[in-house]
Amino acid sequence: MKKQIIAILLTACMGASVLGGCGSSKESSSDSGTTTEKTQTTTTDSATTDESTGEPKYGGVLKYATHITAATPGYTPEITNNAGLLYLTTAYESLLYYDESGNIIPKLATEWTTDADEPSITWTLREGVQFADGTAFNAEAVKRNIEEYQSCERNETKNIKECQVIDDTHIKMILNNWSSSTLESVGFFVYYMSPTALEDVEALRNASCGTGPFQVTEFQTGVATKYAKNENYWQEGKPYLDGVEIYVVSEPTTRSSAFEAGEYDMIHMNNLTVANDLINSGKYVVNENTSGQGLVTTGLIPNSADSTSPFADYRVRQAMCYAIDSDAIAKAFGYGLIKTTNQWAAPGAVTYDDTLKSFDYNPEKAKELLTEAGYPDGFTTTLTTDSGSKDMFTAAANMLEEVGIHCEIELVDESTGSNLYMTGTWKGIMGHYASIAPDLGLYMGRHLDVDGAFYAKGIQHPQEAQDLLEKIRVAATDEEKIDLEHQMQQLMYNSETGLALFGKPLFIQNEPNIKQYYVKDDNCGVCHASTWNIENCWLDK
Amino acid sequence: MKNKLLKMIIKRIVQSIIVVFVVTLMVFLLMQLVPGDPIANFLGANATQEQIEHYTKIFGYDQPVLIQYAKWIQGLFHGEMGRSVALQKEISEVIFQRLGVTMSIVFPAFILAVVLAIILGIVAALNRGTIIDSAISFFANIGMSMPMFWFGMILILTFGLKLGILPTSGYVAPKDGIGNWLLHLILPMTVLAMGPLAQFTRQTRSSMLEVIRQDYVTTARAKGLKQKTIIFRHQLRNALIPIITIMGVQLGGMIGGTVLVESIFVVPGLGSLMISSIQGKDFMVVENGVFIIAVAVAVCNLIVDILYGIIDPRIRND
Repeated sequence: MKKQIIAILLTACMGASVLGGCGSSKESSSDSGTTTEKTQTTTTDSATTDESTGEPKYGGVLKYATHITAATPGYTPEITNNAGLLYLTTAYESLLYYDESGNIIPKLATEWTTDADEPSITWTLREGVQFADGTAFNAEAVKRNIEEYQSCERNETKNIKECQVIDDTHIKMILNNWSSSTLESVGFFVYYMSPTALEDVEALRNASCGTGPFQVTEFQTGVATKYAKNENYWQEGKPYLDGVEIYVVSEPTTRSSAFEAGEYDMIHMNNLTVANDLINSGKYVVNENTSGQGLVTTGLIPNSADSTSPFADYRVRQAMCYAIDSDAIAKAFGYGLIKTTNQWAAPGAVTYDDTLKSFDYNPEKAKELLTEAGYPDGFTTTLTTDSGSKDMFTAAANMLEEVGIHCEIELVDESTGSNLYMTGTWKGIMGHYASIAPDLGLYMGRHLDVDGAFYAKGIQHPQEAQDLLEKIRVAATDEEKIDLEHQMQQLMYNSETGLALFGKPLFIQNEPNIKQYYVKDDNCGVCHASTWNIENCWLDK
Repeated sequence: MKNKLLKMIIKRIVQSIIVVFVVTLMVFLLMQLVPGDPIANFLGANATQEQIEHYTKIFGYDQPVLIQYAKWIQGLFHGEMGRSVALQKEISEVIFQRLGVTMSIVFPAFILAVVLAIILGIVAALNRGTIIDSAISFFANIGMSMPMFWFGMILILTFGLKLGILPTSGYVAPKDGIGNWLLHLILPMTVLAMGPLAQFTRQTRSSMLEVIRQDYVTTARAKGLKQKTIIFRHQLRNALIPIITIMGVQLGGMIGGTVLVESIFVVPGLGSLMISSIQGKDFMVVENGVFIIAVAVAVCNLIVDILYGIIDPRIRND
């Protein structure tokens, strides 16, 4: 009898599963059917022009899937990776923001003045802004947040000696010394939390309390973060959505399939092959990053620190640059989703120097330079790569072989690779990954400074470059800084006079955000690869 | 008899504790050899040396390796697993929450595999040499040789994308609706159950064939017992010992196998936590995750040993 009851129960459970599956089939099929009917064919170029058509509609929850996780969606000093900015910019805001060309624009600050002689920045704060808990956003709140960031040893606030509250809407930050980087560091990388909420940091780690358009309602580490509309949001009539849900889906194929099945409205795609398949289906819209902000260049860097290495001679480094056809590599492996660049910047960005003479593919010139440097028969070296870049770097190695530089490919895991570039102990050539930002002095400094954290111990440090780096850091005005940054690009990447210390940048990595046709005005990854203007987003369903 | 069984259980428990201890030591030492710094990885490319030192001290990674290990083990005795760098949470809080999700897939998958395998194995054995036997053996061979990842993808593409009758991924807790929970469970459970189902089926068939010609089965037939009684009371019961061995091993393997299944189907269980922690160099989470799996495997083996003792008195007496 007992056995029979168990058997009946088991059968009932299995039957319920099957019936449940049938029940949802109608709903899912119906959704996907609608999607197919209303789809529009868009290309990467037309994707951004798709925005702002029609009047925004209220309501709906945007479901976004990514492979990127955040340790906390709420305690902002602990989000240090660029990748985590998407979580931050949903619930929090900074004093400044970037526009589509990489220029600084106001956000929580309306004005600012800098003084290089008496190193300081004075901010005028936006009036009438409140945190989600009703606490006023004012100068005291800014001061409290700066102190919190300093207690977490955040580099961005390290140069601030003191914060002087002038009145509710004005605060003066006294700096230890003048640095052209501080304005952007403090302006863009500090995300303001309610001072009231800061009294319980542990609780804030699993929630949020910012001035942003949405606030966290549910957080499951590595699984999902759900946000609801901030009723106290300062931009009138915004946000349009009722909520946002960010899901972590590590496996690209699963993410893509779920997106195609209509389970997500937008996805971040880190696999170019999968992204290419989705884009080629012609059913979806792709956001294009226009400024290069937050993207990373991929290139090959020779170890020039070892005086016995052929790469200690700048002519050999130049020969390496001439021997590699970066356009061909980008075309073969990028599926049209990656751009080439010839310097540490994206075309169109403020730090990009249009006048630069680049190392265009020229194997004959490469052979000449090798002969001049005393290597007429070439030489054998090592090319270290991780599995992600293996195919493209192998293609580059084949091109180097053509001019006599024989590369033995050494495949390492990511951790070993990062250990090699942090200690500067790679042999021959290895992959070079560099973050693109308007503050070239800050980012390039991390690679070029004698004590720099990345690649620095594996390259030479000529005085000329060090002097120029220092000038960039102490530049008093934006114009002066940009001019000096262009000089730095010339010193590193000019095909006639450049030192080629960073080898050759091959292309700019772009992990596209792909969305359903009805998602509008999100600006996801457009102004900065890891941020969005979610307050403007609406669903045209 | 009871004393002998108790003695055997105690002996097995002691052996299991030693095995788990050795596993903790091995995994801890192995994680020390893995290149990469959890703190630097957590802080990312924009981190400064001061920041790295600040957090290294907070998490105790500045202490000698043996001290770190001793503190971990000491914490385990107090039910504390330490704090995760990447998750910024107490590890025990996260691990046990994830373990519940993993078990909610593993157990139904295991039960599904056992029930179906016993039925299929008996049917195949009773119809030896027929087309039914060949079909079941063919199915079992396919099931054993099919890569889990590939099978998962095929199911997603077929039932999630093409037919649209099942969700492609995700997990819904039972408290949010049993129907929805079951719906999200079907694909991961099927993938997880496929390999063990195939293996159990083969083992059941082969064990049944071994006992089918035994004298006591012939005697039972000669006594005029019903076929059902012969199969379940005389054949299956005696064929169970090797099947239970395989089941014990496979249950442990299934808990480990969730690493892949959870990644494919975006199930927030222990397996996906392990994968993200390995990628994020969150060594403490990995070490505690392996510890939990080791304990689970040891418990499974212990249960198998006890079942042996109950089913077969010869083992108990040995």
